[in-house]
Amino acid sequence: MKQSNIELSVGAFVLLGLTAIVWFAVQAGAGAAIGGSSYEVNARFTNIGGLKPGSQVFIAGVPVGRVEKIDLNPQYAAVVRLNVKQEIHLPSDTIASIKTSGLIGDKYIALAPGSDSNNLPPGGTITDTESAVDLESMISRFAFGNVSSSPSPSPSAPK
Amino acid sequence: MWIDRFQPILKSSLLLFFLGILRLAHAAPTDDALAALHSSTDEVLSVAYGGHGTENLAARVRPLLEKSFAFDIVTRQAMGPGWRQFSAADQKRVTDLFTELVIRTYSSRVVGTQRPKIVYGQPVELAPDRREIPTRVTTSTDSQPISVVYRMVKLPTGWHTYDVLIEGVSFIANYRAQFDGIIQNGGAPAVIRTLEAKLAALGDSHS
Repeated sequence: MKQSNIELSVGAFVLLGLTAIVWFAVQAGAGAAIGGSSYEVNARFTNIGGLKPGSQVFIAGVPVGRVEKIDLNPQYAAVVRLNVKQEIHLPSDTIASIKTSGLIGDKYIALAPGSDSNNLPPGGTITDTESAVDLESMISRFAFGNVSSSPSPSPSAPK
Repeated sequence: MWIDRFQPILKSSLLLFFLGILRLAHAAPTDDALAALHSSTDEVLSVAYGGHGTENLAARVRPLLEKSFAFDIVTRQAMGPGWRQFSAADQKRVTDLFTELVIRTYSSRVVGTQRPKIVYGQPVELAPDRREIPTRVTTSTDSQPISVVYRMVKLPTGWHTYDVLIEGVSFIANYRAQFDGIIQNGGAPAVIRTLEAKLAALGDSHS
């Protein structure tokens, strides 16, 4: 009898541990589905540079939602569906930018609310977006961009 | 003769070629936003690179830029959420100062005497009254083309530019991030002070 009691409590403890692991996994992945109600908005980008479903959405550094889904539209642009907390109202001229935490960190979306008095409805689309800035091409532009232009006599000098 | 055998092929390919040109010529003016951007950019470039140098350039391009840019929307969007707390008089003053700053900054970018080459891409419909037009600009000093994207809005007066993205960086987003801090610290008076100081500094460096 005593033996089976111990076995039962160990079993319950293991189950509790497993539940905790599953809960943490869901929270770290697409956690927006758990806790608090939310609404969807879409945003179109020409380059999302490694953004993933589950990436966070911030306003002024405060997490307000997550990326739910990423699709490619017929014009080969990325359409990102965001889940934003219900209590956050976004003016219709809100700008969505894809940023990187640190130099090589994860990608996230930063929202900069605008000044319009109309808010984006659930399912609405953010038209003003800033895609991921391609650091490599910028560096290569600075490194190799001016190779072909001659430094001395400028083209306008001889007249 | 071998040429006789190829004549039908030659004829049909020539026909296809001309049809292609006709289609291209037909496709160009169908988008009003693209046509508006094309003509206003051409006008500004003609003035900027018309051989009169950069003397008084800001004053000369001002009427053209005021026609093609929706400066009230540009200013309102650049200020962000703080704009709604401004008084009507402050909004007017900030719009005037910011417009002046944009025009002066724009005209200070005119360098050299070689007119930059612009290749216009296909307009993208963001909303029924909004278009995004990608362009590639090649300047005489840099051989690599620069990506410049124009965002346009349809108003009763026609299509106007309200944002420009250079290499993916939005003009409005850049200013909104800067003004947000200023507005949170000192409201409209701080914005007006900052803009006046910036314009004074620009005026000094030009004279």
